[in-house]
Amino acid sequence: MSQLLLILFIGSFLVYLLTRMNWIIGVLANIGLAIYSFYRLFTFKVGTSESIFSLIVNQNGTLVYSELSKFFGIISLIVAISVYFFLINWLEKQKNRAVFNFFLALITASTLGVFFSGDLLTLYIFWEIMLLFSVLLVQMGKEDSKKAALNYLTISLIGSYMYLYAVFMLWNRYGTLVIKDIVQKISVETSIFKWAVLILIAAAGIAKSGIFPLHTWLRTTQGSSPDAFSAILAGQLEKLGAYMLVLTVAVFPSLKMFPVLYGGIPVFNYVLIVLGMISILIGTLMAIKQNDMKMLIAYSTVSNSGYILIGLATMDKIGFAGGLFHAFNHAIASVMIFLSFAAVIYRTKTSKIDEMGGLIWKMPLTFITYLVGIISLAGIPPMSGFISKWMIFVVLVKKGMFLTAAAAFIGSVGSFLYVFRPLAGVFLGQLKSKHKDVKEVPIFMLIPMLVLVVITVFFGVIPGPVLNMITAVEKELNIQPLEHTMTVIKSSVGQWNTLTVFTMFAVGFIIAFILYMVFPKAKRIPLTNQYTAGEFLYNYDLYHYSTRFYAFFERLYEKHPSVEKLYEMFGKFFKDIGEFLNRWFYSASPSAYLLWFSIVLLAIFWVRW
Amino acid sequence: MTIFKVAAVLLTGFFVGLTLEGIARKIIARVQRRYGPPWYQNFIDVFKALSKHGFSHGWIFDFGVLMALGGVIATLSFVPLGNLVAFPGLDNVFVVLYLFAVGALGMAMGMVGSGNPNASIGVARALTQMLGYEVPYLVSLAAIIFYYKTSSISNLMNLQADSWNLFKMPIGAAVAFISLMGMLGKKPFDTPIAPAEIASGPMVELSSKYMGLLMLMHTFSIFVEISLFVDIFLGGGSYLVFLLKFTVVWIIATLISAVLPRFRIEQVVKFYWRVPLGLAFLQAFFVLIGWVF
Amino acid sequence: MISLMIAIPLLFAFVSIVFKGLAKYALPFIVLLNILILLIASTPVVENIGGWKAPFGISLVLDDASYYVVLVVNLIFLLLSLIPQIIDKGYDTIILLLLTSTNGLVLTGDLFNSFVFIEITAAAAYILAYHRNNPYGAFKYLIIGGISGSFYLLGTIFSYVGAGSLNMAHISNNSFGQLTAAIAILFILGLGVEAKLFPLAGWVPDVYASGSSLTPTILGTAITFAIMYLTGRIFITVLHGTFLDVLYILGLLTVIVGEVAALRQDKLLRALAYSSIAQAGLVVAAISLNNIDSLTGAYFHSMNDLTAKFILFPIATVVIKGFEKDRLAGFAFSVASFSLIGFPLFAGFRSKLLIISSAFSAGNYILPAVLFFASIVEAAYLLKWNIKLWFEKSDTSNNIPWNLKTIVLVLSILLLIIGIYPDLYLDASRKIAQSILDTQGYINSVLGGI
Repeated sequence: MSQLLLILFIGSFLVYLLTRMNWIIGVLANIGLAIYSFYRLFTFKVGTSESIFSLIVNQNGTLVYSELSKFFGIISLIVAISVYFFLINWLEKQKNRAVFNFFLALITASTLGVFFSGDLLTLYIFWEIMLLFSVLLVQMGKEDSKKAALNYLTISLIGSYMYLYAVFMLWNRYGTLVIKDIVQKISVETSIFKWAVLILIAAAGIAKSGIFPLHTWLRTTQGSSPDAFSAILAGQLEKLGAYMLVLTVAVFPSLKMFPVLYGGIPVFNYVLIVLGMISILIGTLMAIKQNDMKMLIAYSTVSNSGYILIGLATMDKIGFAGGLFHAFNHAIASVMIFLSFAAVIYRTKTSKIDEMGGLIWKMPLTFITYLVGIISLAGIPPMSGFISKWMIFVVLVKKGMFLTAAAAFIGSVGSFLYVFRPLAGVFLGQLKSKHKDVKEVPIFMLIPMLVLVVITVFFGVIPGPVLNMITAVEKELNIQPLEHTMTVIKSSVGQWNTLTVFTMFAVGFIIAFILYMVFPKAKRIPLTNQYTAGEFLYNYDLYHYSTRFYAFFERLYEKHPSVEKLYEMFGKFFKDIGEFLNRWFYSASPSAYLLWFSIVLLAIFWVRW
Repeated sequence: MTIFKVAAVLLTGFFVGLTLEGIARKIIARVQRRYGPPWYQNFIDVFKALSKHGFSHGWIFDFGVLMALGGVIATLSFVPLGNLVAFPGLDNVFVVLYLFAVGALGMAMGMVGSGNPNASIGVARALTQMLGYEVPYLVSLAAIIFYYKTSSISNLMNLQADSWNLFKMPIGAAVAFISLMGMLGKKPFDTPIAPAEIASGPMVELSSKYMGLLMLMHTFSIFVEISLFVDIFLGGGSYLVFLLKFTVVWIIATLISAVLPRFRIEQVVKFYWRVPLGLAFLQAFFVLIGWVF
Repeated sequence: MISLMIAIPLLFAFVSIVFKGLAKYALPFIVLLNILILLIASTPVVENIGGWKAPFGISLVLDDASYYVVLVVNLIFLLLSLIPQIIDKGYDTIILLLLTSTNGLVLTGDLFNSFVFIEITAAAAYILAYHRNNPYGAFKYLIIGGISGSFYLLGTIFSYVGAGSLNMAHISNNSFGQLTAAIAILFILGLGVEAKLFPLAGWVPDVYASGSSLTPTILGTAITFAIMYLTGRIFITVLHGTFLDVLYILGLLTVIVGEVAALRQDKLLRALAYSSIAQAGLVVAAISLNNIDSLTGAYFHSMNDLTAKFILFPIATVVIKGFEKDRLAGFAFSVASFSLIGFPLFAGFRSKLLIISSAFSAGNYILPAVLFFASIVEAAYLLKWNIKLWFEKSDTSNNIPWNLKTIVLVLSILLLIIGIYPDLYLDASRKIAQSILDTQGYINSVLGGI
């Protein structure tokens, strides 16, 4: 593994040089590296560990290859490879191509590093490398990405420093950082220590995957970062957060560490579940409001991370599997969606929903990618997204967690609302006259999108291969494995067969198609030939309903409290304090200096002596 | 064997559904002191629409209609009609409910693809309404699944042999019925199509066979929705008993809608999230503490 | 032999008063000579001026700690002498004087002597600070510096009263009850101003942001490092750790205040000055933990900080048009910022890690929390400046001299190397820490057999 990481890190420098010479070769080299590491993932033996450099005295860094690292590694490489393919055409319009490519390669390398890490400090190092270079990539986007990058950096650092604090608490207590050793010792600790450590570790995952209350960076960051990188952000980096959450609830044995409450769920996990619920609600309601399509999907990420967290935190065989599978599905689906957006923006130069319309006539394949992506994201059969949502619903209902289930239902039905908004506003409806000459994107952008479509449909029909990986992870983490066959998913409250559902859908479609063919042919009329209640229309650009699509619904929660504003207030507060300090202590007159000097003198005399 | 069962389910849906829709028109007419069309009027409508030469707004319009009908047909085939079960053991509640969404999505996509803003507004309303009624409905279903420890519809049906859920969990049944009204799009919840406001919303650009196919889809949808209610809350029964119960529910729903005005769309959501959702939680709470009659 | 390190620069300073322009050319050779002396010297060397034996005479002590500190200080002056462009006209004599006094400050084993050198350093600093457009800042510095100097002197007098001698080793060897506290307080006030502790050191932003690139570059690196050494030496070696808790609290306060105050600055130099304050506070807080790991971490961190600041300050003064045409300078600037924030792969991460782990081992859970908070704030404003400078649109370059460019580039690569292979700095700082903690060794080597 260390060999692979070394190759990747050195390779990324090579990618930089190659991209400087000829950017297409650079991108190809990047793809080559990613494919090579994808291949290597299957050649490693699960359970092998290696030790690498040492950072603290007596503490070697270790790398461990587990089923978990394999699972997440596969997700992140699928995402990386498809986005890199996309870059073959997309990168042409980006400035600083070499740096862009270089950072992407470094991010992939450090992401794999995180998954391979066998001890907490090594994990932190790779984590921070990934963070640094992703921040640098974010700010290469459009104008407001500069501010977004700061936002992203600050919140991520809050998470990762909390994590590092926990790491040192553990190191101080046990003198070791190897995860395997720590988890064996920690269950007998005092409960305050356990709570502190796990909350601090979870904070990193919460910040990264965009769970309330550290979700605020997602909107601006995903909204304004370079379009292709948004896909990486959603598909690859936020899954690091999911990985961290798995670490918190499952690798650290939450079932053994905390007393269990209602439904056999440890009390610590309930805290996470509540956060997950709030994320689902916030994500859904805010996504419905967005007019920028990337920001819309950014909020949907908040909501879906909530699902992942809830699924994982139940620690139930089906719920945990649902959480992992949802991480997989969300990665693929959000990459499809962001890539299709990137394609749209590539051609239209805008990401505002109400500035577009009718693009389906110009970019049909992009549309199909988006369609399949949202069907999976919203959890509608026969795509794979439904399977994981089903698993999460089942576990919530089975355990009688009705409030959480209600939040999950709201998130699920709400997702129909928000994913439909770009569908209607961007792809359907009247084509804007300024987009009359838009063409479908070039072939290399289409290939990864369509391949992802195939993957989503395939795993929606035959989820067996993914489920096999998930059950392997569950076995490794001492959770009862999910019962399933290639196409049947079983739970204690019933089962269903993905293949049957797909077949029936196909049959239904064929029946409909036969009926359609049997009856007389219709005449194709242009979109401007419309029912207009008898009025004449001259500007069809305006005959398109996309601004404030759900205005009537948004009105119901217009005056919602905003965490984002709260944080802005905090930021302003600190700045004001800084200004105050500056005025009173640093820009003061000499006499003021003397005053402070004597105050310190007196204070020390009185207090200390 | 499965093929025949599926065919039987679909044919039942077709004939019974269209007949009952015709009867509903008759009932409404009588409530409003009109004579009303004959009971077979809907058959005539469907075939007439299907046989005409009409207009299409491009491939997504066609595709949406096909997806809508295909999705609903697929959904219907999973719904047990009394003891007529096409896929025993695989008739999971959530699968049926979400497969149902494929049809809805297909229709929404096709209709918005027509490029008419009235259709978009109608679809936006329909989706919002869905957000309203699905949540209480799913919560009350969740209580039932939790109680019976199974999410297979036919199992749920068979487990009510002694007493119907209508009596065991009356609040849940009431919630489900109110949600059912929303699903059916019956007054007071017919905001999405509101003919006087948005020119029948999604249907505004429909003509000829598209209209016919979507009428079929509508019929099947109604069949799925009411069947779920009958199976889960009224104990299903044999095929004929099932149809009888089905007819009764349909007539009651029609009668209620015949005398009510229409909600505004945000009122729909507010109403559903206030009253039925609260009741659904109450029912869930009763189930948790074991107050099931 | 080692007294030459003080004498030669002083001599040349005098000479350069008459032969204007000589100093500029002499500086590199003087510094090289100093380094040469250091290379052939073997620690510990104790040299008694005028033949008076300690504790009666003035002695210069070159033990492990002062060896490495002097080495670092001279290396910084060497780097400085390689970029004569940033030394403003007429200031070259001052630089020589500063070199004299800093070397003396570090080498001396005598409290009064150290007072003298501190005063010379301060005087040189006042003159440096008196930049064309910043007379008021220099004036404020002069006032507060003068006061603190008198407190330092008072502390020296008190120790003389108590121990009957001015020799550090001799004072360290005696214990004088109640008086220790008084001495410690006086030294805290005396050193606090130079060590940039809050709320004593209000002068820093005004002086550092005077607009001259020489002032912050030399004050923020070499002088700061020497003062940090002196703080450790006096409070740990001489006073055996008395009043370290006060230093600890002041240090933590300085970290927080420095970082928060930097947030709103709209001038880059001022922001960097605050960052410098905060880093100094962190180093003082880490020193005050008084164990080998924390001291190592503190000096290691101080070295990383000064390396980064030697990149940041000159570039910050030279670059006004952004990095669009000066990518290499921009690269160095970014690397230095990331190192200051403490990202892995960069030098700052290693020292912060060391400080944190030593704090945890000492059972201190507050310092790491403060450090993390400070790092978050620091990351926020440093990255803001980085982004701002990288995206400034300009068609022309900033005319950065080639030698400055080379030096910052080399230093930034050094930061990267330290991040991966820290032994170079780590060994030096461990030696410093060991020797500062080794009170008995110090006494023995200075006082000899007495």
